[in-house]
Amino acid sequence: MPGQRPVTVRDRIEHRWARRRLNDYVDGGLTARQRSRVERHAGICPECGPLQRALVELVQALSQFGALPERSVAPAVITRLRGEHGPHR
Amino acid sequence: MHRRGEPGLEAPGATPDEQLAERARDGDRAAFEELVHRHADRLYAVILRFTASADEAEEATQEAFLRAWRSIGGFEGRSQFFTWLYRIGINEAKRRAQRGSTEPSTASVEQDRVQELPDSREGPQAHAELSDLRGELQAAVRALPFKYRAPLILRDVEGLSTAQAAEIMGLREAAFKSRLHRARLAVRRALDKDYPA
Repeated sequence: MPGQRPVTVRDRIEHRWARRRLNDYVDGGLTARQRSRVERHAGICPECGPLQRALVELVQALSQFGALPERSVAPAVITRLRGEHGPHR
Repeated sequence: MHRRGEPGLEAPGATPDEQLAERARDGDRAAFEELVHRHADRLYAVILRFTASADEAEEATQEAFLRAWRSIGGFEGRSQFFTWLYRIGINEAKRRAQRGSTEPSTASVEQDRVQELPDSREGPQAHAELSDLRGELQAAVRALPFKYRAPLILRDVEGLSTAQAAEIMGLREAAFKSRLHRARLAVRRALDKDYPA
C-alpha cells in the first residue's frame, strides 16, 4: 500500500485488484489498459512494486534455461521403437 | 546444450504433426519416426528437469515415446500432438520422481503468505546478480515438488502458453495459474534465503 500518505479505500481496492493480476501481468495476459493500471499501482505500492519487478526478473531468468542436448536422443529412441510391434488400435 | 525453437511449430511446408500422427495411427512407422525426430530432444530437455541424471532422462524419453507409439490409436487429434506427447512424458517423469525418495514436500510451497514478502533487490544490479545465481536458481527449481515444478518448467522454461501447459498437466487454466504463481514465489523465496538483500 502507498506508505507516505494516508491509505484510502480506493488504494486498498487498487492493491487487491493489482495483486491478483501480477501473474497475468508477467505472462503478458492483460490488456494495455490493465497493464497500465497494474504499473500505476506498482509504481507507488511498496509491496506490489518489488514483487512485480522480482517476478519479471525471475521469469526472464528461467526463460534462459531452455536448451536442447548437443547430441540428439532421437536415434536411440528410434532404435528402441524398431524393436516394438505396431501401435494398439 | 543449445537453445530450442518454438514448440508445436513445424518448418514451413512440412507435414503437420497431426497428419503424421494420423498416418502413425494406421501403422506408418516412418511417420511416427518423423515425430520422434521433431520432438525427442525437446521432450528430453523437459524430462531432464525431473530426473536425477541424463541417462535416466534419456531412458524416460524412450519410454515416453514407446508408450506414445503403443497408444497412438488413442490420439484423436482434439489437442496438438506435442501436448498429448508431453503429457505422456510428464507422467513418465512423475512416475520416476515418485519412485525416488527425494521428491520434495509440498509444504514449503503451500505455507502461508510469508513467501510473498517483497524482494528489495531492484534495477540493473538485481539483473546482474540473478545471472550470477544461475546455479542457485536451478537448485531452487529442482527443490520444488513435482506439482509445482512442472508448471514452472512448461510455462517459464519451455515457453509454452498457459493453455498448452495446463492441458499437458490436465488442469484447468485457473488451477494451473495458481500453481505457477506459488512455484514462482517459492523459487524467489529460496533465492532470497541464500542471497538476502
